[in-house]
Amino acid sequence: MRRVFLAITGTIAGLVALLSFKSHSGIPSSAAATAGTSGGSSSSAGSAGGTGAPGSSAASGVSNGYKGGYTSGAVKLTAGEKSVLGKAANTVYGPVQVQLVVSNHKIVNVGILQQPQGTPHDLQIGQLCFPTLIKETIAAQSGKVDAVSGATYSSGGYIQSLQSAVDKGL
Amino acid sequence: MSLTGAAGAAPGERLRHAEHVMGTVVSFDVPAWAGSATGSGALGDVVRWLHWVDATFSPYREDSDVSRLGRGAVTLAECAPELAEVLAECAAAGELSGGYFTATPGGRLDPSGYVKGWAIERAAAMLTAAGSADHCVNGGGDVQCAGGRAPGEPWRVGIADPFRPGALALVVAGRDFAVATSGVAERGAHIIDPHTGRPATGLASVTVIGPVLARADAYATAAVAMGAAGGAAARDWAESLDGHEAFAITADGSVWQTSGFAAYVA
Repeated sequence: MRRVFLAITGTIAGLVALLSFKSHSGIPSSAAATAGTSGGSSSSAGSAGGTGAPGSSAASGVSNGYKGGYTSGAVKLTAGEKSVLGKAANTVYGPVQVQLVVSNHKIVNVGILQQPQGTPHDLQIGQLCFPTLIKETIAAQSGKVDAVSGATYSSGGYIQSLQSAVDKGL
Repeated sequence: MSLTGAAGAAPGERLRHAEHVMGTVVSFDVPAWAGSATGSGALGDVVRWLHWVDATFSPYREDSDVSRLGRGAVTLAECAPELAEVLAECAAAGELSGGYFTATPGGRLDPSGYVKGWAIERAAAMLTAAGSADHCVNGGGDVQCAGGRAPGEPWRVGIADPFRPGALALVVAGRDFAVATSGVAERGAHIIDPHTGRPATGLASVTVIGPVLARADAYATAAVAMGAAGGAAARDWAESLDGHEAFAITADGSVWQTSGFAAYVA
């Protein structure tokens, strides 16, 4: 769960970064993306159908193997599949949010839960960003971090920190 | 001193150690020194030096050089020479940041905002001098990396999301780089805008990437201090810094980054 979750939050931020980067190279400069407020969540399908309710644990130790492509809208889960939702990123074009579908420790599909609609840049954003987002997802989901940078934690707060998990080799 | 690595680390995989010092925890990751007595000894030297830094520079210890100098009990010349070096660096960082970085936040001598980054940078350099080509030292959220995590692989550093404890906002990757983040996540608003005397609250966190940690950390702190109203001034300033890139999360949750930051996003 932790690795998958880290990978996805990193990926969403990667998308945000990508959108921001694009703002420097063509798309109007007001395109600085903003991070959303909804947290990531995960769910699993106990039986066929449904996108599942948030709250239960997601897969850990996901390996590579996803071959590409994405689905517009939420992906319905089948038995054995788990859904990991990314944090919504609010760009000036509207919110962007992805769903990873994980089966047997592999990402088998990526759903685009939210994407900009009705702007002149819809197509551009979709064509430029989503393939990159998915590629980054694949690259990131198998990787862990070696360190965590953030506002200084106290000696007592360390035990709750992500860095303490890193130090334990988790 | 036991340097057996954090509990749970796979034996023989890489040398990891977490040391409680300077009011936080300093984490070491030295891949090539797993099971090395020489490496363990060198790491022990570094850890002892960090405790010396704590004893010398802590503003919370009555008998530290910083406390004694601050209350006029000693002259700078009577203190450890490293203190003069640190104060000179603080002055340089203050000049480069229009006074937003200062060794006297709130009017009292407290170079802690520089000392930690400086100490971690130097600790990493000590490991290099002892023969390590690849290591990562994280001082309570400020990271100095040398080499890579493995042959051909960069170090991967997550940037904490100040609005979601335990989650990351972003992952950056690089070799021989420093990643410093300042902000309000862990201890509440605590970076004072020295020009107003009030806590700076416009930016929830600023991450600065550069070649070495002490300066990157000072820049991150200065950017937070100048972060009123979303930090447009901080962004312009960060963009002007040679050899450094910045990523910020504003108090309302939006983000910005300097033009070269995307190259580091993993």
